[in-house]
Amino acid sequence: MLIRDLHNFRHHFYELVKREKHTTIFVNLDVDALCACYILMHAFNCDNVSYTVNPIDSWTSLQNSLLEYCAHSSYIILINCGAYRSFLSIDLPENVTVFVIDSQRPFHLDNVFNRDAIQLLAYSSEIESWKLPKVEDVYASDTDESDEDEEDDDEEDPMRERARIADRIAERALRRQKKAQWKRNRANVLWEYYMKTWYSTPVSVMVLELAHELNKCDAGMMWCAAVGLSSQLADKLISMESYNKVCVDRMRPFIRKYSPRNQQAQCKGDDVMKISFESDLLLPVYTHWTLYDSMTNDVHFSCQSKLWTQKGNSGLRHIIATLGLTLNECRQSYSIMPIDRRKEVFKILEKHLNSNFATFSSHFGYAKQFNAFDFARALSLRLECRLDAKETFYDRFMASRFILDKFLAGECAHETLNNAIQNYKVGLKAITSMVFTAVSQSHVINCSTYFLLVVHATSDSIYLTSRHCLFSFAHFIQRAFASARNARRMEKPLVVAVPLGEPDAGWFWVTGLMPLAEYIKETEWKSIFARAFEHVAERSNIMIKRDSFDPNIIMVKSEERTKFFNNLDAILEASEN
Amino acid sequence: MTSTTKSNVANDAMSLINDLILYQDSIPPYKDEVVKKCAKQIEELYQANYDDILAMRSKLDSSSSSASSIHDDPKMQLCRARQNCIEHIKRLCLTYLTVRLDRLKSLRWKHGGLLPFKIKNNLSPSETEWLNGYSRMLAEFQQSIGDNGVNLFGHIHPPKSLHIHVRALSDYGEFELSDGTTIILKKNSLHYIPREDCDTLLKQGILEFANLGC
Repeated sequence: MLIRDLHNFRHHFYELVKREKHTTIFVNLDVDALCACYILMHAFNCDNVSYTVNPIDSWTSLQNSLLEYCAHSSYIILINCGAYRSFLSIDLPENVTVFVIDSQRPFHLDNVFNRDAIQLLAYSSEIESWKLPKVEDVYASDTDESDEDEEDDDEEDPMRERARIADRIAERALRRQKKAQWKRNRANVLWEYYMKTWYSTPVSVMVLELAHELNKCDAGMMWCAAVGLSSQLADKLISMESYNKVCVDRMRPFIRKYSPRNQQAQCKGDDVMKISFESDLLLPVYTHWTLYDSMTNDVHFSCQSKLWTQKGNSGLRHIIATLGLTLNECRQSYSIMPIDRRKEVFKILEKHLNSNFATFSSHFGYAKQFNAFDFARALSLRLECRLDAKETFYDRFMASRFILDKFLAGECAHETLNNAIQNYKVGLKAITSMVFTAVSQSHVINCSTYFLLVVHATSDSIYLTSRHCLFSFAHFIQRAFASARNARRMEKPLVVAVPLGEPDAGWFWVTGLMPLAEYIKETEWKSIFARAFEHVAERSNIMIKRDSFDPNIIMVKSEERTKFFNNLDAILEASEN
Repeated sequence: MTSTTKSNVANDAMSLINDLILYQDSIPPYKDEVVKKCAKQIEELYQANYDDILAMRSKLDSSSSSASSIHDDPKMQLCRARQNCIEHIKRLCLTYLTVRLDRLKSLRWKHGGLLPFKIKNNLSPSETEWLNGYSRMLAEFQQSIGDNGVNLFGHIHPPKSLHIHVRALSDYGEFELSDGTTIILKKNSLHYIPREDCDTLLKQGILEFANLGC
């Protein structure tokens, strides 16, 4: 069932949960969910609601844990997991209600039309755009199953009897025909509805608005939501236009409240967090790095100067010279540049990049300003990447939460955050080098309907176990590959396969990107790959693991991968025609 | 009887006070007879005073001496002395009763409702009644605070929050909280539960404090 709009979120969700003795919260391992969980926990702490938080990363663990926990809690909250798949397969007891707050679309129809047990939170304005099919089209009501046995009247003369039998046969044939037609219609409707998957409003923004409704909101919470929103952009889940739209539509009242323009309204104080929303450069972590390093790891500059070729370096230097920046300036740390020069450089780069990008940044007193985008990047690497084999995902979750905690408490220069940023730089360099090797050594294979890249297992490919890195890598490769100015390269989708190490050795992680032309043109990034992968697996009987909460990422056994890719080719070709 | 000194008269009352001093912080058995005796003494003294003053008044009416002479009458001094005695005894008795009640109140807070048997035995019936009334008032007050009522007996100083964040270090299984709900403690799960319920598990090492800012 859908809970529509903020007012109902409060009364049909929050107030119910508040009165309950103990709730269980399941959180997906991504930055948006982490931030939303943080805001929700803050609200619960204010109201003295006791709860349990469980971070999870796969469907199987969710199913197992759900069955265990629902014996004891009657309210369960799922953040960023669970809307895409049906819950009917899990046998929930009678009195349990599951609340799902998810940014993944589309919602599974079983969950939407289920009466009470599953409640999904969404905004009415958005629901219109989903084109939800009608209930009758999808579910056979029981009255359609007409009772076969009809009363037999007392036997009259055989003529009438035969006529009646003939009638009955005709009726039954008609009913069967209708049912077959209904089934065909249903198949069409479901195909249309489930074809595309996309990401909508980030959950942290939804929870922020709920917290605001409850008057439990402050600048720190707004910052969390800003980080959650920026992480969606950093993970390449949404386009720049969607990001700007959410900033303008949803975050504007908060911007007005927590970063007012005039000086008098601002409260002064060294330990007060001040958030500002200003235009910024889309260079990765450039304020914590040197400009040169940032540019070499940036998609735009790398592609412009083709850094993977031998002439790449000189190309980049040429670009820098044309912009009017000296090499020395670029090679030194950004933070030691004098302020007026920094402003000039900023203007030059902004004009050059022309990306119309604005983001949130926060600072305490006179400490350094921190960009939400960079924060989201560092946090996502810390949270998602399985760098240390001994760390469980719970440890990663707590460590990322700790970073967020310390930052909001005012310790911006805390060492965990600095470590996270340093690790991010290392990770980014690894990704860039993988991209460059793949492009320069032409690892991208041209299958007829799509481009395929099978990544070679190197020590760096451990970074690709994180969704953020995987998608950044894939988008980077797509751009780099298409920058050869071959128009056809922009038209075909890209599929990336990454070999996994322990504990999933022998499996490949496969994900797909839509054609580059679509990413440039469309404002909403919708992907058909989730459905395509399912189809391939069904048709050709290949066993795939669809355990990740992101439906665009699946696991394929390495022996079966050639078969999988061939079938994928066939399916994509069929769908194009 | 009438020629006893103040200290002798108030001996019984003093014995009550001595009792209290002896049994520091605890409540000695209620000396019902002694208190009654003190009350009787007060009555006797008062009666004696009454008789004397009546006698003096009648003498005043019959004779023609001035009113001021009544104050010079040695009997008047005696009356005053008796009045002082009365007040002294009264003060001692009242102190006895009040101190007992105070101690009872603090014991109630210390033991949280269930007093040891010995002390219960030492109370007079009216004290028991007072205790019941006090407990009832406390319960009503606690119930009226917040949604579910707050247990004021848990902490002497107001705590920062009623719940704390704890992390389960091992798969403990089911655990029942004080308000009846059961929670499942799986390895590596974060919980936010009332402070009192975690104490035993924290000591055992199954739970640990999760160091969270909020």
